[in-house]
Amino acid sequence: MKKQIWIFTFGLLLGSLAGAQGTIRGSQDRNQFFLTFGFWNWTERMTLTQGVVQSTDWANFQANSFGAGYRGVYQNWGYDLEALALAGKAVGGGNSNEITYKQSNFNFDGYGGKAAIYYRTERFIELGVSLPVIFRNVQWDTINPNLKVRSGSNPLITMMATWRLRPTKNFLIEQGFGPAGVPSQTIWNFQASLLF
Amino acid sequence: MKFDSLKALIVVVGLVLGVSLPVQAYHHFIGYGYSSCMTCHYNGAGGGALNDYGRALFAAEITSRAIFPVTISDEKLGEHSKFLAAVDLPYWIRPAIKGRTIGLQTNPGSPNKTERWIPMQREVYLTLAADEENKYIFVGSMTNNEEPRRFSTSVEDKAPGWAMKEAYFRLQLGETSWIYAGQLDKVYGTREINHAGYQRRVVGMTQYDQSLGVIYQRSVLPTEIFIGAFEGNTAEKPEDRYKGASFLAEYEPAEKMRVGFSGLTEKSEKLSKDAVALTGRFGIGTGSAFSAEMGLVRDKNLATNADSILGAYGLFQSFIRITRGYNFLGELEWYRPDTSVGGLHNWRWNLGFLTFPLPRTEVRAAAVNSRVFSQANGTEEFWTLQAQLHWSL
Repeated sequence: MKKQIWIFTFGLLLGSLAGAQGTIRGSQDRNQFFLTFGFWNWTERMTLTQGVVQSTDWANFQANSFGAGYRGVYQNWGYDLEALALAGKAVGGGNSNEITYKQSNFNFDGYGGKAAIYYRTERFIELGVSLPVIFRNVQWDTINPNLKVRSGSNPLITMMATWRLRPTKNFLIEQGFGPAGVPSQTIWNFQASLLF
Repeated sequence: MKFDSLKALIVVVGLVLGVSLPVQAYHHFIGYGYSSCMTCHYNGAGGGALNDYGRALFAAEITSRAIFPVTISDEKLGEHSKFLAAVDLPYWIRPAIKGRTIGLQTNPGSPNKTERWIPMQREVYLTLAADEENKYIFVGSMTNNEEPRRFSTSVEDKAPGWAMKEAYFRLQLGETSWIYAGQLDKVYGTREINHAGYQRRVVGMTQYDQSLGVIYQRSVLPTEIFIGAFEGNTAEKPEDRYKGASFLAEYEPAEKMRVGFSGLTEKSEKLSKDAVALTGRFGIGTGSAFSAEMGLVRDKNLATNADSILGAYGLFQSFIRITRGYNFLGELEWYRPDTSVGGLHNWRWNLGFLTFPLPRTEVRAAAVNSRVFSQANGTEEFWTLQAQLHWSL
């Protein structure tokens, strides 16, 4: 991935923060519990080994998520902490001429958490960064017994640019975008939250 | 400008200006309280030429006024938004000119990268009114593109240079109803400006998919409905013209909030298409908004009489006003061409800025991330950088 894209993406948020003005008047500091329902999507690199590394290939993951957390709001600033469970489908391989390994619509699950800090440009708009840590668990079937594919529970740790809109007092929509830890590949999420 | 310079420009826009991305009707402006497209456009469903109020509003409320001293009021900017600045033309004539150029770099940073500039829009508009209240008007527009989409994707006709895009009459019936007759955009779904988006492409509502027909509009808030019947685009060969009907019904349950339902059925001699969609637009705070559309599309090849294919699509946009004239746009698109085949999902993220730094000017900068979730193989993501300049008179 060219640096420019990441600079640009995170530049959006930095710039947005710089452009935001003023303290939100009439806003009350408050702490809230919340539940989230969402969708995650990312790409990983697969390594196929037969003693030594033979080939690398791509794997795509998409999952639904359920989460619960706690958030605090202090004037223009806020934070939240969230526990996450994911379940979804993965597709891997199929591109290597050397090793014809492929898995389609493979079930996987994941567990983890996410911490975020955000700046509220106004009462219903939040811009920030989040740090998700997700242990995704995928047990790829190995078709060829001599073929070893890296599978199991592996952590996905990254930093995402996050923006949120709150159309009502108790409902919040979040979008996030960040590097997936593999060059040129990304992870993103789309979540709806119920605030209590 | 070389593309390296373009990248640098995008980065600079993102980092330095930072105070503030994709087509032509800005349904996001519901965030300013303008829920009906008719406030600003001659076409009540949005798109096309702006009316006098839309021009003034764009200059006095939407566009950045950073280059103007405080002594110049917003009202003054509004007064100078006419075709010839502050010059009042007779009430019966309203000309307009629009140009839009897009710079694209695919696979940035890779040996496979490609770069090109596309003159996306060169159009002239002419609106003629029979009365000062604009109860009886004619709206016409001509377009000149090197390769309009409808010519590049249908039979090998050469691009004709200047071609008619719109030509229709609008008649007001009473206080709340209008009739449109002629060639204009069909009504369906959200009039999203990104004509290359799934939401418009899969339904056949792209930049040059206007159709000859009749549309009835009734606006009795909190409800607004459009019902239309159409005969196809007159520039297409008769066998390629889609004939059918469509509708859009929107309801405004609260201020800055619109939900809608839309449907379309159409058929040419070769293909038939049916589509339905749920839409929503919600204004948040001062000038920010989000919008969503979810739809189903059924296509059938009449030539082969094969089974019809049911696809699905979705669109979610966050439009965040950073400061006046500068906005962040985050767009998530999803398209599943065949719901009966497991696993194939197309995803696209569009992240960037939609800015109006000067009167009559729009500048966009975006990074577009595309990916396919296919059963056939794991796939690498695909990036595109876009820069877009739009100006109008």
